[in-house]
Amino acid sequence: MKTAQQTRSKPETHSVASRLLAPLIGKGYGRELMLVGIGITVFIAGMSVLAPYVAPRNPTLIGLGLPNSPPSAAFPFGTDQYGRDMLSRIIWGGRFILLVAVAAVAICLMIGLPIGLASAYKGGNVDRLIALCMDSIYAFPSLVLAVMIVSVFGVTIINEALAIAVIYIPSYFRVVRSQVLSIKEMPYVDAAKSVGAGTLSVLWKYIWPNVIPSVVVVVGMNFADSILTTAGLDFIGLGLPVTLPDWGIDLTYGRQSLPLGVWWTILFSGGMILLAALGFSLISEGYAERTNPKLR
Amino acid sequence: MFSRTPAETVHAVDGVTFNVERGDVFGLVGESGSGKTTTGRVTAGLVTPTEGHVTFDGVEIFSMGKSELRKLRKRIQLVYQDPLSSLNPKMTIGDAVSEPLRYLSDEPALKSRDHVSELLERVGLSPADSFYYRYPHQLSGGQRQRVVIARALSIGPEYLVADEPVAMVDVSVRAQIMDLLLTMQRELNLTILLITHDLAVAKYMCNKIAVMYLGKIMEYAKTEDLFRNPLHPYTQALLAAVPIPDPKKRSVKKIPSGEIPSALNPPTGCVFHPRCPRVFGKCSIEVPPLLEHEPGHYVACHLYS
Amino acid sequence: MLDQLLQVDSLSVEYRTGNTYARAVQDVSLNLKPGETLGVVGESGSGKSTLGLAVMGLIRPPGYVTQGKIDFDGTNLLTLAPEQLRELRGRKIAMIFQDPMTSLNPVKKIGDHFVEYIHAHDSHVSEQNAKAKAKTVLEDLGIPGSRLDDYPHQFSGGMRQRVMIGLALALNPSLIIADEPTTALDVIVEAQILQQLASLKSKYSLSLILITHNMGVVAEMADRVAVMYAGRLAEVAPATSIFETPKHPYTEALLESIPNILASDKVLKTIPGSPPDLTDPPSGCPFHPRCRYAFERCGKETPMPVITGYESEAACFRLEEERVRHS
Repeated sequence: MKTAQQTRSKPETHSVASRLLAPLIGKGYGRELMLVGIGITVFIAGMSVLAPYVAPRNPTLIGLGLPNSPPSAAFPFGTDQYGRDMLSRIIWGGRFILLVAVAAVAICLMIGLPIGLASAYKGGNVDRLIALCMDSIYAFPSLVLAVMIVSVFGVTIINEALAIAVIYIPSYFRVVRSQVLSIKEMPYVDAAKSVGAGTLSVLWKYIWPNVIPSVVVVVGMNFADSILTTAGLDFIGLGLPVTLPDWGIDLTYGRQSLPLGVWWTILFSGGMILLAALGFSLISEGYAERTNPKLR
Repeated sequence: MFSRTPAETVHAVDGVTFNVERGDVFGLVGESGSGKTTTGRVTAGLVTPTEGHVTFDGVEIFSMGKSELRKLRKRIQLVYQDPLSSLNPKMTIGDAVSEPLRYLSDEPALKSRDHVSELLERVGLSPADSFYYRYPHQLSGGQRQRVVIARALSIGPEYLVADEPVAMVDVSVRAQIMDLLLTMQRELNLTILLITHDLAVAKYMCNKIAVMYLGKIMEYAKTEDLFRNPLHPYTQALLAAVPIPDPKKRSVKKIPSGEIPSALNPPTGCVFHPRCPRVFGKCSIEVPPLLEHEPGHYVACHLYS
Repeated sequence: MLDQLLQVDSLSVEYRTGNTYARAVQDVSLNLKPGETLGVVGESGSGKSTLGLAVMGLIRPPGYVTQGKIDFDGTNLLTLAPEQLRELRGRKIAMIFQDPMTSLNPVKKIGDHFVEYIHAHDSHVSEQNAKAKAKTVLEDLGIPGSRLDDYPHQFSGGMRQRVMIGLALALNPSLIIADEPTTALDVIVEAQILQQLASLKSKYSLSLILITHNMGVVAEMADRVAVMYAGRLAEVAPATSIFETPKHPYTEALLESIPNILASDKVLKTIPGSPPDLTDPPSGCPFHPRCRYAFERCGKETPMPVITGYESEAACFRLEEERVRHS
């Protein structure tokens, strides 16, 4: 048969990593989107992790340069009102935000995923009840809840992550649940059960692998959302102690300094927030586009 | 002997009784709502009947214990209609075919790569090595259906329930799949229950056919008897309605009017009576029993009782 | 050739996604006489549905008509502006699809569907007249006029398809294109509807293009049959001759592979392989990898249709070689 002779296959093509990476190969604009997104994300993550080695100066030292001076050879991103080097501040400024994002996503995955899988697979009234609860949480505006939690319990990475996670768990739940509900009716699940596959096997080998693509999309959006929320909290003053470099805080200062004609603080801090959120969103979008039409 | 009686609010299958002998390719033919798929799944032990018994090789399926049921699963397998959705898109062909072995077989030799490769070759997926690591979306519809058949055969079953195995396969490929099933049947001495709406497929593949309508069997006989001498008006209507690929055989046909009634509210008496061209008084009152009109030829119709 | 209702010349349609493209229809030429039923037969990927859509002017990106002419009653449809095409659709050419459920508005009564449809083409028609027309057409299809006040969900599948046929007839078109109209229906309902279509054809003086994968349906209904494979025209011939003496190896092989309840003990001959992937078709003749008569030329060049008899053509090099041998 022509098809058989045309394609060779390699044993290693069925590892989890390669299956996740599969959407990177092939045609369609999704691939480009993902690559750009990954590029941005890797760049920002790398920058944040390697901050101690990459930042030219200490970001917290005041008076390194003239306050509020525009970008120059010595200070490529200018200085803020305390004379601190903006470039170094920007390089260091993502750490808190990214850490919170990672923590939030981790919590969501650890809680939202299993609940979604189990509830949807089991079905029945219990599932409907849980879905109802999730839908009510879903209706809550994330920033408001985050503000509530943080004002009562204080600002720590865990608290902020929790606030964001609580709001996002319903999204995971919904997405996972709708996937599971349709997958569990598929003949191939039926076939597996009829050859004696137990519940765990079915969930692990049949349901979960088919749910992953949609989870990846939500993870991307979760990251982006989390970045914006954390930066938002910092912006309104419910974030970190003021001395640590942070894009959200710099955004506040930038806003205050803007009437003085200082455009660079707001530009770079706001820009980085957007860029980070964009990076994750692009990965999510690109991945969604790649994994859907393939089933055509 | 397989027999089964009334289901719940929807009488999906109602008072159905028939025997399938070892080595038969038994056709369950019917249109939508006939209950053929449900009946097939009951005979495979996947759906519990509200009433009635299903006896497999002398043992009643629905009174079996857990370990016995497990042994039963090794002897009965299913082939599904849609080759695309009956294979896990995230599982390689090799893994998919060895799944039944993983759960039901205690012999490591059978679970081996070689055994699976041999199976793939047997169903015509050659060279097996090039298919082993592929995914369903990389195969054509006909190839996928072969995989489904290989998976069903991997555990060495005696009885296969094939639900519309060629309905969703391209026309030019159907003959391949039908021949594959028949070859496997011969080589492995399988018993097959073929569920289909396509009388031509049933005629080609089956040695016995039961015609179902709205949950009941209207007629059941050896294939050649059914086609040579269709007794039930519904069978006659079906035969008249099938489009024949031969313009010389065009004729003015007598097609019953109306459509299949809802299973929630079936007609009284004989379920076919509202559309039957030969209906008379008794038909709307009494349900006609399935009686043997000629040796091996059963019909449920008052015209013959 | 002057009295053709529809003449398709060298039509090609492509679907482009990303950087791949699939040639859904390649260089297809067909014609249809007034009052004729042309059966267009093919499997998945044959291009038969795309052909129907092209005639209706319904090819939208990512689909593109890359070449050809579609001549309907003297006008090239491909040169018409969208408003002109909309005028034509319904009035002159109407289409029926496989799944009636998605074409009917669940919150609109059937009668209102007709009124809306008729008004879209001629706002001067009174609601009364539109409904009267609907009633006539539906009664011809065996649906009592009282059902104009019912909603789609109150109809069974077969009835809904009849409603669709009724809608198609409402503006008295001269051509109806039916794309797999009975594929989703049970055998007996299918037979009912085919019978009705046949009688309506003469009553309403229609020409019909019947697109299907079912050779039986085509044998019952068509005057002429066009067989398509992988976007190309394999063979065209009158129904009587194509079933008896098919000229194209694909037609021949197909007919030998389908079961027939009237042919006792027919042994089905299988066709190896499967229909090709249109984004990566075989070189030369698309059927050659599966063809029992294939020779070297078949993999290198693509055959064009040659005349094989009265109103018959087939695209196969074997026929050309035979002709050469005979002359």
